[in-house]
Amino acid sequence: MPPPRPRRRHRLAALLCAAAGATGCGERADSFQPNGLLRATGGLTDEQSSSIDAALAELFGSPDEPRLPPELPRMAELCDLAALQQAAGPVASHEVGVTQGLYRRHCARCHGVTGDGRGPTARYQSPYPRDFRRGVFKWKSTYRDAPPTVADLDRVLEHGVPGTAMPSFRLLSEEEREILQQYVIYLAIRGQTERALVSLVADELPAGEPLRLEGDLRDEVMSESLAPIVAAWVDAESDVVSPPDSSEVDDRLIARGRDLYHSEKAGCFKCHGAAGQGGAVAGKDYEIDYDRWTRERVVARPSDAVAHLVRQDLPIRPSRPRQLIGATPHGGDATADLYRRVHQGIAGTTMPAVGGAYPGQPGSLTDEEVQSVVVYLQSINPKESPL
Amino acid sequence: MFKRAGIVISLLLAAGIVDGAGGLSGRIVVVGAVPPAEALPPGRDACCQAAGPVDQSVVVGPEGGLANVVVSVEPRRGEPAPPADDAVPEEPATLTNRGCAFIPRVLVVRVGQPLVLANNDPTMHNVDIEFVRNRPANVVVPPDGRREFDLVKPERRPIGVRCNVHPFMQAWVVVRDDPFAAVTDESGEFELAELPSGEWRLRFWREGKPFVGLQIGSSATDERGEVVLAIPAGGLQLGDLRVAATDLR
Repeated sequence: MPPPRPRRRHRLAALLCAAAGATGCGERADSFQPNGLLRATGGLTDEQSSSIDAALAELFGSPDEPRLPPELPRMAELCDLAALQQAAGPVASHEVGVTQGLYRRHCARCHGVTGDGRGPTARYQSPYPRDFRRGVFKWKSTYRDAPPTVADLDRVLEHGVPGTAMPSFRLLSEEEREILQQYVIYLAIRGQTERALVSLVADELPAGEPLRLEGDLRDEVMSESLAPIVAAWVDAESDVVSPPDSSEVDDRLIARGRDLYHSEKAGCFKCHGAAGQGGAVAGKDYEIDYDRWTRERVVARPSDAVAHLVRQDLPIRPSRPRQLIGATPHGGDATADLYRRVHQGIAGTTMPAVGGAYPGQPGSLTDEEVQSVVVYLQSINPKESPL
Repeated sequence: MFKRAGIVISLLLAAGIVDGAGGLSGRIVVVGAVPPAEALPPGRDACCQAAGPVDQSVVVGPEGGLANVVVSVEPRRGEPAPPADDAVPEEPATLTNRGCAFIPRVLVVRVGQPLVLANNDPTMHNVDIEFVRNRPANVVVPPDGRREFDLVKPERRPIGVRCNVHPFMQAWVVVRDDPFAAVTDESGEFELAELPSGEWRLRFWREGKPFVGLQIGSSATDERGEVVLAIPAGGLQLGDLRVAATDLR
């Protein structure tokens, strides 16, 4: 545990924040926000919910004092404790060029102190800022169900997400971006752990029994639930989808892609429209569909507690198939980006995969067919952006 | 897991609880008028329009049987679990897109048994399965297409399955590492033939949620859809379990 910070730091932080005109960034935050909806839908009692908060605090610390669980040694391969400490806590600077509280300085206003995508400005953005707690990220190079690589997160930090409120952080030093990237992974793993613990309490423990994370239960949770979560992050590099060497783009390949786009085999046109105009879904009354983050809040016959939480939360917005012509793709428009997006779809969203779900699994399109769809999309949408 | 199961078997044998073939069966019956299933706007695909999909969240047979209720043995931590065989079926469990609906609506599959996604429709579908402990998938299945997936862990709840191209389509997959889960058929009947005698915690699910308040003898399923039943050596026939039509929607 790091030594308590001297009081002087709080005064400095308060001054800095006042100067920046930001609200809340200098405030201390003793605890992360619990995922109330997850716990209410799991039918947890207040006592059970508090026991999960206590277990999470014991494992991961607080927004001011992060911790790494000693039983998850591989987490140190992703997150350096000193880096997390510099990202966490209120904003302060005691040395020229060194900023403490980087996450609250640069990220928390949108992504929230907890990384739940519910910072004070989230409500006014479209799309909403990413909620890290599922460990699911859209713009990445890996197979659909794998976490992003470190390089993927770095890339989003460096370039931002074009067409959204996520800006480029190229003005930060590489070191600061790396610290933030590590802290995002820390928040994601913490959120995934919360989900695993709620599931354990809701569906495995005797009714009403609070979580006591000790003894055999602790060993089992660590080895069977949490270690695999961490391992997936550490091993993400080995789950990267490799686009084939760029094949010769000729009219025949483009024509093949065009046929596939409009075919029942790939079915792109069903959602993105015959002309790539987007927004079309089979059936006018059923245009409404949701991504993973939102679907959880669309509950049929909710209990009073769940209905109350949903009302208080961000307004529910349906997802819409993207316009493919004349719009900036959020996930980048390089050939490799488009290839991976068609091959794996977009994690957490309604956009499905036409490629295999893991290396070696046959998809509904061959890799070459995926490539042809990509060159067709490029042919109807000449590249203008320098990205 | 095996160690725990082993201990449970020894305990049960020592207590003389596992002393007969057991078995559990019953029939869930709807009392009262059930409104006809609503037609779902089928979208622009001709084959979906021709199939005329209807809302299948309540499927009641001609004699009032309630289909698609999952009945499973789900001991809480520390409670005894019935000993399970290792005989995992080799033939795949198949979820088929037919008439712009998933067939069956509720599919039970064993860990180690291949899960196959098939498509008999002339339109493409995508199959979006929100697995929690297995790899989640959302893949395109073209006409006559077939995708196969391996399942490595049992899921704690029925997992929702959807098609995002035809968002009215819905199914549920129940992933088990034992044979103690059944789904009521069109007559509302279910049977856990291999459930040995003993006292077991049962859980009832409907449309992915706990089936709360189902009256079984003098008790009813609780907020989690659970009830503890003693299965005698000769098995237990629950007979008709009645549920009011007004409680279903």
